[in-house]
Parts: sequence; structure tokens; C-alpha cells
Amino acid sequence: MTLRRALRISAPITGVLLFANAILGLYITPPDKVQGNLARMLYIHPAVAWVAYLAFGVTTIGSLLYLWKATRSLRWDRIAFVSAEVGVLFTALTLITGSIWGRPAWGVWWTWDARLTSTAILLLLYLGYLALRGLPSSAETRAKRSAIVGIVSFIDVPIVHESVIWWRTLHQGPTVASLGMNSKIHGIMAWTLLLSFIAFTLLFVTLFLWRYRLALQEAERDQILVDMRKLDVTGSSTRSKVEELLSTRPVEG
Amino acid sequence: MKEMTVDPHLVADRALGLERKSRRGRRLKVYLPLALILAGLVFLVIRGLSNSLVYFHTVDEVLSMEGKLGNSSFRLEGVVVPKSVHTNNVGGVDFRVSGADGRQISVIDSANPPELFQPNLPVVLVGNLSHGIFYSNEIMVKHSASYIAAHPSRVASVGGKKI
Amino acid sequence: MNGYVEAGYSAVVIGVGGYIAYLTQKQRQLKRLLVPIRVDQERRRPKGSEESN
Repeated sequence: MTLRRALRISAPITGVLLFANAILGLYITPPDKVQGNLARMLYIHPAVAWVAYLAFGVTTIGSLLYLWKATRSLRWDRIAFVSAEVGVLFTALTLITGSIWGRPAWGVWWTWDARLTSTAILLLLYLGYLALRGLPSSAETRAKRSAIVGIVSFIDVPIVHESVIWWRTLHQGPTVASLGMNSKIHGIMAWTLLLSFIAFTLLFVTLFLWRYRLALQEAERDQILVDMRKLDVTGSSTRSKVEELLSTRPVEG
Repeated sequence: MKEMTVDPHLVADRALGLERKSRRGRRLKVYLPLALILAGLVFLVIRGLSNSLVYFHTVDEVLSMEGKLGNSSFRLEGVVVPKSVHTNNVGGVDFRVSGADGRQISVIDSANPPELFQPNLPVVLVGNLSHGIFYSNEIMVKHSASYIAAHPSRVASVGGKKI
Repeated sequence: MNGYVEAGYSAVVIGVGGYIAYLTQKQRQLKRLLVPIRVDQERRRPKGSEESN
């Protein structure tokens, strides 16, 4: 299955599920006994945070497979990079939605408890990972360096997740203790929470596939230009000439 | 082999005229964010180690180390005792918080309590202890991990908005 | 609802929407540069571009 076809399937399903999640979360589910309508944040915030974990997990796997000699390929580096970029977006959204929830529920936008602090650290770690990739270097050096940082940064993910158990926090403990439903959350609220996890996971898949496809094309563009540099055709060429030359090269979908 | 050290991205940007910055400008653009991120990480780790490991003291801990606390500001956690809440004349509320084994501390709060502030919910207070009374200047509500429909009998009715 | 819920859901829409806009722009840029063409319509390659590699 080509990337393009996978995207054509995943994108509309993601859209439908996210829409259903919003309708259920905003209108169908009942308000909570203590938090009232504020509890509707439950149908976005935890799922968004989960996607951040998932994305950095993929980055770690990609990084490991790149470092392992038997599977070393720039493809794994690309997968790690793309996933980290999406992960940074979702970590930022976790902090923002959490802050918006915290203000009315706790009374503060921010506090230095272990969950919040370790999540902020997570964001900076992977922003650092992305910034590190901007350093000028060969593709191989960049891949190796990033892989190490990507793996080391992942240590913070279990810390974030367990922080509410290991330390005293203002943040609540886990509502979904395991994959099974427990008594801490009622009927349709639990189902909507589950739907939010599925919908946001699919959103991750869609964004990942799309970004990966673009990263492939970028790599291709870069390679063409490197080839041309070798042939010394770019030295004096104008932009239009470069583009003309590029258009002669067939590209995979 | 010399070509292996070429950064394809830079070559591409240069060839497409997307990158016109001087070498120095480029270097700043690359290293400055990294430096800022590193500084931010150091700040957060220090902040975390000094604040997050013992984010608050419980009522029982505070009562057992009252003498040692002095005038220092710290966070106190306890459950708001029912029927102990009264508005006061310093812009906040007076109430008592209780610990796990029922021992209580009186609180004089000078800040507007958050909307969710109510009896029987655990709160985290910021302030200091003086003569057995906790003077709080910030109340944070520590809500539980439970989510229960406000009106279980009406859950079936579509449209949470109306409830 | 209460303002905060709307703000929270909007934040997600804006964040994801912003990323989608970024990807769309990138896609457009790349599409301009990399035009897939059928082999029988291929233009003359620059001298020695494939063979010499």
C-alpha cells in the first residue's frame, strides 16, 4: 500500500472520529458531579497526552533501529524525526489544554508539581532534539546524534506518566488505571474517553503518514540538488533553471 | 568520499536560493535555540527538584514539625472540613482542613477561592504557619480522578447542555 | 458552556489546524519542485545526470 493510499483511507476516518468525539464530548455526555461541564476537557486532554507518549515511543524505536547496525537505514532516522515533530505538537497541546483545565479546576494556570514540571521538561527535550537536527552535518552524523538524544529523552516519558504516583502532585492520579474500564468513570463518559483515545491515535497516524511522505520528497529534492552540485550545474544556475531541471526527474508517490 | 560530509539540506537550500544568510547569521540561528532550550531544561530541572519532589506537606506532617517550619512559605494539603467555611474580611475564607487521621488545622485565607472550592474536597494551600493557624494566600483545588454524572438518572437524556 | 471548555477544544483545533496548514504549504512547495511525469513524456535529461553516477 502506498503512503498516498494509506493517507486517503486514514484521513477521512480520523475526521469522522474526531467529529464524533467532539459531539459526544461537548453535547451528549453528562456534566460531572464535581466539575460540571469542565469535565468535558477529559475527552481531549488525556488522549492528546497519550499521543505525545506514543509519538516519542515511535521516535525511540526508530532511533534504536537506526543505531542497530543490522537495521541501519536513514528510513528509521526519518521515522524518528517525523514522529518527534508530531510529538512536540501534541506535548505542547497537552500543556495548553492542561493549563486551560487547571485554571478553573485548580484555580491556577500553572504549578510546579511533578506532573507539570516533567511534562514541560519533555517538551524541551524533544524541541532540543528537533533543534539539534538543524545543526549542519552529514545525514549519517545527524541520524546517529539524533538517535542518541531521542533515546535518552524518552527516559522522561515513564517519569511523566508515573509522576502522579511517585510524588505528591496537584494533578489527579490516573483515571484509566488499565486498558479495562473501572468504576472511577461512568458509562458513556468512559466510552467517549475511549473514543477520544482511538480518534487521536488515528490523528497521529494520519499526520505521521503525511509528514513522512513530505520528508521523503524533501530527501529526494535534497538528493537531486546534491547530485547537481556534483555535476556543477547549480553553481551559476538561477532558481528557474534549477526548477526546470528538477521537473525532469520522476518521483514516486 | 569527500561528498559524504555534505549536508544535503544546506546544499538544497543554497541551490534554491532559500538560504541567503551569512555563515554567522546561520550559525546563530542554529545554536541560539539550542542554547535557549538547554538553559530552559536546566531551569526546569532545578525548579522540579526544589518544588516537585515534596510538592506539599500533609496536615499531620505540619502538626508534627510545627516548630521547625518557622515563617517559611510552604504548601499544605488537607480536606476542607464541612460547615467550617466562612467568608472573612481579608478577601477570602476561613475554614479548617483535616488530615488523614482527622486532626485539623485552622486556615485564614486572603485570596479568592477557586470556583470548585467546596467542603470535602482536598485542597493545596500556599502560605505560612503562625501560632497554629495557617495563613494562606492561594487555594488550589485538588480534584479526584473520579468522573461521575451529575444527575445519573438523567444520563439517558441527550444533550448534556440542558442538564 | 463555561468558556474554558470552548477554549480547550479550540486550542486543539488551532494547534492541529496550524500543523496541517504548515504541511499543506510544504506540500505545495515540494509539488512545484518535484513534478511526476510519465516516462514517455520525459524531457531531455541534463547531460549525463543519471549515467555518470
